[in-house]
Amino acid sequence: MGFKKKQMLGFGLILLFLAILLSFMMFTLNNLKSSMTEIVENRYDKVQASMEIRQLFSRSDREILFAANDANKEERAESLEIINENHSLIESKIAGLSGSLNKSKAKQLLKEFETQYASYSITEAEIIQKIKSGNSSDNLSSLMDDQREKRTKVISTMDEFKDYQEGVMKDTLSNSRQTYEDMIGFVIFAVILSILVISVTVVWMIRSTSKDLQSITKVIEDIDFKNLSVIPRIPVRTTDEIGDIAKSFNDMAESLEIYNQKEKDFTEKISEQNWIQTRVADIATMYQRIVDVEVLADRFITRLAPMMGASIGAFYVKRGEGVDMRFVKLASFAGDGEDSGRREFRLGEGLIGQCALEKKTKVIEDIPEDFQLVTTGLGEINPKSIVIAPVVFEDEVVAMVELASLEAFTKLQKTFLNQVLDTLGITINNVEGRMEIERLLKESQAQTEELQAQSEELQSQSEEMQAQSEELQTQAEELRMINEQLEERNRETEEKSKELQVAKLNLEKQAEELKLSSKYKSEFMANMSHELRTPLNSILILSEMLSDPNDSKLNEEQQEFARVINSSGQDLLTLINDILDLSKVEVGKLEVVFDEMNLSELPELLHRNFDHVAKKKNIDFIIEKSKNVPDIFFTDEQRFQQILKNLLSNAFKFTEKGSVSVQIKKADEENVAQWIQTKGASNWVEIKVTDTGIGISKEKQKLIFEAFQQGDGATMRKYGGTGLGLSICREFAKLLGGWVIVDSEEGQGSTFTFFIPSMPEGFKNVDEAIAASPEVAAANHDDSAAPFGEQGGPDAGMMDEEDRDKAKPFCNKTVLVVDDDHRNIFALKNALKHEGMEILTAENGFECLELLEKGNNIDVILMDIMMPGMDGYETMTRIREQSKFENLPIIALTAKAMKGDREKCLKAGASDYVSKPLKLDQLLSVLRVWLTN
Amino acid sequence: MKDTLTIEEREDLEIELLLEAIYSVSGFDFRKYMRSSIKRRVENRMRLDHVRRISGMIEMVLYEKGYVEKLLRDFSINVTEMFRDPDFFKAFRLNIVPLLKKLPEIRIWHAGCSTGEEAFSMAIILKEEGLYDKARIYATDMNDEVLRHAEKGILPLNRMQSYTKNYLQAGGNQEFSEYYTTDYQNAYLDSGLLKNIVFFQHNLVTDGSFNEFHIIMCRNVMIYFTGELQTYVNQLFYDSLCKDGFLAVGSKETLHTSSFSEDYEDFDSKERIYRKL
Repeated sequence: MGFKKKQMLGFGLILLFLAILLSFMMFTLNNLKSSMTEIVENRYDKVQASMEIRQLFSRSDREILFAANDANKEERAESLEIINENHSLIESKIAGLSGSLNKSKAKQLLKEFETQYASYSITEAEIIQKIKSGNSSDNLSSLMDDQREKRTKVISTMDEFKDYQEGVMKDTLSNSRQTYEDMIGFVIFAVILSILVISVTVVWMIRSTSKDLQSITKVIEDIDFKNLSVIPRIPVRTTDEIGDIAKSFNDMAESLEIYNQKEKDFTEKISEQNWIQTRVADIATMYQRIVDVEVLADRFITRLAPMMGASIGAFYVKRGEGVDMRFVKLASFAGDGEDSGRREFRLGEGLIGQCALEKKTKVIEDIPEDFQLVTTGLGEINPKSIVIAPVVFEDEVVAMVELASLEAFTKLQKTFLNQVLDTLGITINNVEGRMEIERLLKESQAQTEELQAQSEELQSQSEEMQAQSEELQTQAEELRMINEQLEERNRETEEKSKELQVAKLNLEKQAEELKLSSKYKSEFMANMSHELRTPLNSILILSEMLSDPNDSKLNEEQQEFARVINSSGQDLLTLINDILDLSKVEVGKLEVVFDEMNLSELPELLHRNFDHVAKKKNIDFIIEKSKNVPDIFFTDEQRFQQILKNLLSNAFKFTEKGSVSVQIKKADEENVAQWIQTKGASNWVEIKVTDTGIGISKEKQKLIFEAFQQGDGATMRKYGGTGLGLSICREFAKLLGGWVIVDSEEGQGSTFTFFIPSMPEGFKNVDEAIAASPEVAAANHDDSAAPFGEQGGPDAGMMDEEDRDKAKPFCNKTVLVVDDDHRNIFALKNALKHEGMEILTAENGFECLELLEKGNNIDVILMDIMMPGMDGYETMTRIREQSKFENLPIIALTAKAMKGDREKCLKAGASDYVSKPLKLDQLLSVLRVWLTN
Repeated sequence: MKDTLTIEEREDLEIELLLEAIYSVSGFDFRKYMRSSIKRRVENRMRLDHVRRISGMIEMVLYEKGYVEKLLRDFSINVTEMFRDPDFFKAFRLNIVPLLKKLPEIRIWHAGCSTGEEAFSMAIILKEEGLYDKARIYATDMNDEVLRHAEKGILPLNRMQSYTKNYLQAGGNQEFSEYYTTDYQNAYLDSGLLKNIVFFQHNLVTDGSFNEFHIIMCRNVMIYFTGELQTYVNQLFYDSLCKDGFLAVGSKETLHTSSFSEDYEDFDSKERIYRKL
């Protein structure tokens, strides 16, 4: 029976019993209700009616009595009335009762009562009659007795009826009570029975289902979830749902078991695969960064052998092609040095060669006795199995691997070997390719470097050659000059004194002319002086040579002549030098080098130079130096000494007796200030040269500093000298930032005072110096720092001058200044003109382009940026658009603060830029750079 | 024993002996210089001096006073210019200078500086970047003569135009003319630029490391060396560089073909700037 049926049956039984029980109870209750109705409605009414009848009867009776005995007439009438009334009531009631009676006995009794009552009523009517008629009491009393008798009969019948009815009622009541009790009993029985039946059904239902379920649960609980390979089955005992469950469970268990088995197999396979993959990956990782096949072979076999459980192994790589093809051992594992295995073999040579030929892997389990032994520390063992495998790449064997093991190789190891060898071919090929690329790269790099080296060498050579050709040119020039000089020297030697005489006369004449000609700023004079110094130099050297008694073939007199020539030449040179210095000062070409100088050595120096003069003239020579004079002093030592020497020479020259004294002390700044103001000067020193000579008259004192002026003509003739000394002194003093003054009285002697400042920074600030001392300005031209030594020998001085003219890049060069500011143009024009350049000017871009168009031969352009009309950028761009001006140097003049301007300038095509305000030195440097070819 | 030597073999042998002689006489070792280059220079000298055989030169090296110096001058190629390869200097300024700013002091070695133009260029860049005061530039060359020249800071006037162009291309942000004055032949570098440059003789082949540097520049020097010598000099540079230091080589050179490629990272592969790892 199915689970569903069981349930339906069980619950159906329970419902059935409940229905029976309920209908029974309904029936019983209905019975009870009809009993009750009977009792209440029927019996009780009958009893009630009988009671009422009795009461009415009694009353009638009483009224009769009363009417008969005691009553007056009225009362009697009233009583009679009531009796009549009662009589009709009783009759109606009896009629009512008789209609409702159903029991025969009751009917019988009521009939009896009716009869009796009818007899009584007759009697009664008689009595009433008598009463009405007023009969005496005798008749009446008999009647009364009779009535009494009848009345008793009626009452008893009535009572009997009533009792009967009550009895019936009581019976009915007890009947219904009995019925109730019966019913209670039955209900209890029925309920108990139902409970019993239902309980049995339920117990049966529960038991019959839970048993199967329990058996299933137990089986499921018994399953070992950790090991699903064996799962217990549930016995199928029924065909119901539980049976179905058990069946399904069994199916499931079976498939689980199968699945589990499959999973196990799979896991095993995976772990094998894993084993292989790990090792393959391990080896593949090792391939990385290997750039050498030998390294690859070594690392490969060293890794592979342990993985394969091999004890020895060797790795051969193909070398050569065609006939030369062979396999060379590159690495071995646990190899016994060189002995382990063959060093190389050819295709088909031996078993391994055969394998290589067949491109097949061979596994050998039967090892010949004499096979190579695996060497351990203790001895040697024969391997048990050997595997020989080719490494194939693009269907070609590129390498061979041989491994020998003490154990047999497992299938897994063989699979692994195959897989590893599959990729090894590519790797070997890659590595070889990489090696080849590396080699080629190195080769090409070497070639690149070689090329670079060659180009540098060529460059160097061309530079060298250029230098050499320049050198050659210079050498040729030098040779030519040396030649000329030699020739001249020869000629001079030949002509000797005669020529010297002529030269001297010439010089004197020149000196005369110099004196007569312009006293100031004569470049001509400077140049002439140079010209003079060269031959004079020769005269001096040659005459000195001639006057040397050891080295001369001349007689003594002639030697004396030569000495005279020499000393006259010396004088002449001094004069020329003086003139040169002065004219240089005046044309501003004298270089002044401010440097450190030690004043403490000054007295000694002066003594050394003038002691012998003083001695010769028998004059006292006194030098006083105050202690507050600083030792270290910054000035141009050479010029400084020249001034002092000149002053002292003068003093000695014009002093015949007495003394010449020098006083060196720190100058009073205020005192200095009234004579001269030099900015940046400090530590003034005052040097006084006092003599007791002829003195100078007041009116001449102003003149003596003019060139070629002495006290008077007579003095000149008497004392000699050029009259340039004091001029030079003052000019030099100015150059050094100082001043010379004179204080003298004729006949009493003179005092020349020389004020000079220490100038550690030199005379840097030209403008300021100009402001203070206009005359000095001329001395400070831009080239004061130019490195050619005019104070060197006369020859050197002249050479430099020549070189300078020759190399001067500014001569005959044309510069185009493009600027809208007239003051700028003016300033540039003056400065550049002074350098010997041609200057063109344009006030804006249009003019600039126009000038260029006209075909002016312009060498360089100075381009201002901020201009009305066409600005500098646009102008430059337009210039560069024309291919003929592609390489024309354009120097942009930018504002220093504007960094972006510079980039714009370069973009627009400027060759270089210089920032405003312009520094003349820098501008000239840049121009030199851009005018050099 | 071979009966006859081919001409090449004989020449190679002669050159080998010549270099041996030069090494013994002067201490300058050219034996590991690139043979092709040496050969060209020897041939050049032979042409100029009308020497028929290299062996003749060996004799002159041994017996003729001053001849070995002359050969040494020939062997030392002094091709250089200011801001040579302007892009290199631009890269240096843009990418390396910011890294140098953190250093308390900067030591730079110009190996094979020749007449010092690159060292001057470096000084200018450092000056413009405000680093010059804490920098020290060691400029070395094996040729004492060029060093004496370099010390003066004198540049030929006719090169200044191209130097100006290079300077501007290398990202110069001042006026190049501020760094020099000129006369009619030369340009004179500002002495302030020279104050932190030390010039001294150092031979890469025979002398060892003398300091630890943040930057080593050796541009177009090793191109004259054989691979072996290049490796040796690279080792010297490696040992002389501090960690994260920079090595700059010439535009046609590379570290990639050397065994040092792993020891440096490419800092700027185009300009051949490498950084020590």
